[in-house]
Amino acid sequence: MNWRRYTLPIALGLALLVSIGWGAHQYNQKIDYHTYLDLQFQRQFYELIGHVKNAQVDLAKAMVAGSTTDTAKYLNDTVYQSYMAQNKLTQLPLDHLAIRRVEKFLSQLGDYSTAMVNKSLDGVVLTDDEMGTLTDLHSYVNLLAQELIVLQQQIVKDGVNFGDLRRNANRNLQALNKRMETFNGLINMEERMQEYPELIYDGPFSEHMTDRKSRLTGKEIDEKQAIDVLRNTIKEDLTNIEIAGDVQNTVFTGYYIRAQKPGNRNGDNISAVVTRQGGKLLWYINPRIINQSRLDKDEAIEIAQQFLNDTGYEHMVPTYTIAYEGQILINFAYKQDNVIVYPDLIKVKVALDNGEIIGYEAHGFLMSHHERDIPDPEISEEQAMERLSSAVEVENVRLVIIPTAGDHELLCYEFRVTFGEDRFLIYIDAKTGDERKILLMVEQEDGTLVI
Amino acid sequence: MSRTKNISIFLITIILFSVFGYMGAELVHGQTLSWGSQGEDVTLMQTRLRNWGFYDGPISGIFGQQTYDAVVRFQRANGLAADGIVGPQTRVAIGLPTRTGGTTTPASRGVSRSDDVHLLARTIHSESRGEPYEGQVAVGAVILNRVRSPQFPNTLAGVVYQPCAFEPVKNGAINQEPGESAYRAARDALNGWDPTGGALYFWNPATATSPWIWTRRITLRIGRHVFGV
Repeated sequence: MNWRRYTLPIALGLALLVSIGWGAHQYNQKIDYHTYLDLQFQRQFYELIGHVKNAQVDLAKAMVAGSTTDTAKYLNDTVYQSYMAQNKLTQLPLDHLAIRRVEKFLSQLGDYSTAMVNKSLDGVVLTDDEMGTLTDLHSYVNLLAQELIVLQQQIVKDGVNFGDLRRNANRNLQALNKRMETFNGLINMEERMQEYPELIYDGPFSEHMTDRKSRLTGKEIDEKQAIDVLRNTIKEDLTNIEIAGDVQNTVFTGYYIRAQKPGNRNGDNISAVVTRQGGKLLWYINPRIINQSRLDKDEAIEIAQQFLNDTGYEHMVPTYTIAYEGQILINFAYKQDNVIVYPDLIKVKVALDNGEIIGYEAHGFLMSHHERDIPDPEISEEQAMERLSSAVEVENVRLVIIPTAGDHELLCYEFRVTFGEDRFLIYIDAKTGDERKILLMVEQEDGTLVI
Repeated sequence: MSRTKNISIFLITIILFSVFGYMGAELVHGQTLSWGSQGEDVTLMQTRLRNWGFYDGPISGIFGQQTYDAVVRFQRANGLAADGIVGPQTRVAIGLPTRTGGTTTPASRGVSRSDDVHLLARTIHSESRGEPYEGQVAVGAVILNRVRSPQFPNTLAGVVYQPCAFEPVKNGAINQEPGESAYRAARDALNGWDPTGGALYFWNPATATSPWIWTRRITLRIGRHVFGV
């Protein structure tokens, strides 16, 4: 009798103990994870400092190096160190908007060094201007390293907890900003950097590439004309056509058009942009569901070619294709005087069920197309072939123009070669005979991909 | 009594099976190749080793005696521990993909891009579910524009997992399996469609908390999102 009375309290007591134990366990686990996370961030912060310091030292060495090969070697190290530093910085839980200029600087340091490495590898001694830029960059990176070291000392003294920083970032901005005060050094750095002019260089990923001007000419068109352009290009039934917006602040400003297409699933509207200047279709997407394939690659290419001819693009030749999920994407390049001009690129996507054009993208063509004055190659095909490794077997060769970093174009011999089981494309400069690019072709059932 | 015994034996068997099953699965997708391993990675490795002259047997996809000898020769020539087992270091030296991953993407989907497509599709799905299709392509394009921009990391994973950059990464929604339209949008974005014309930011005017974001120049509005540089 007596023990019945105690059964419930005992059971509850046990349950309480168990939940306390469980809670304590969870709490400890949370602390563990928190510490682990914090340590990871600390590590990244220290590594960041290390990389910035190394970049600074390598850059200094590059400037005093005696030969172009030594310069190239040290600049190469600078490239690596600055990219690693940027990598670490972007993974820290700092408000990435506040420190984006520092990130950009590190990236540009790497890019500029890459451009200079390529020069030095060609045996070219850097000019005074380029040396001046390197000196500027060096004083920046020096400043950054010092700022980071001060910050490091502060962190050691005050014990900033990166894990907390992250948690507060989740809660509210106010708390984050307070925390960020510790990082004032970095933010001040940001302000000081604004005083420096933008870098001009030919590196990859460089900012000025996005500021390119288009070669598009012609009259400005209005909304009604834009809709006509879309109707005349995509010769299909479109209903409820509307101008859904404006494309601004980009290389091509234009009209953003949406429309319904009979037969498409509800909500699968087509969309397109027609440029304001010249009234050209910039891109077009029809996201409809695609049924079983009935066409093969060659039939699809023929349809796409016909579409381009009808649209007014002549001398376009198909270069590479890739098929996926019932659709095939075909890249067309412009051909002038028997030379393939890769920068003038138009992509056409064909549905393999009924041959409908379901995608179109002409950014490359509209951006760079003009009648070029193509020079005669200065070295012959045979001379170019001698630059290839004797281990490869040449299948095919043709003259092409390829785009390079910094909006330049190069006339090259394109060799399609096999080596072992793999096929490559090798580009030999038709003027200097230098090897400019090697691409590995990954051939699959559904098309060719180049890497 | 004997009944409880039976039940416990049964339970233990189940537990053991699931543990081994788990370990088995780990082995299949693990990174280490050794005697008896089979599959695409072995084929790839045999091809590489043959091209470099370490291997003269058939490209069979099966790790046997000849492959073992070739691996040992390769390891010796490259200053690696010559144990005939393709661990992480040897893997990198041979140039095999270092992540085999738990998800099996079909072999015909392209080598370097299948990872990218998957990650991009997940980001698109978590950021722009319910948006118009071109809005999904646009989100993908913004992420790829960031990869190209000097202000952001230079890899897709770097951009996607950058702290404080994308909300779904913070709350884990990015781990959801993307729908079919997110995959198509990811492919279109990777193939060069960019409805935004080079935008680096997108935000939802209704929920954006940072006043800073409004200092960006807007390029386009699609659905609920605003895109800007």
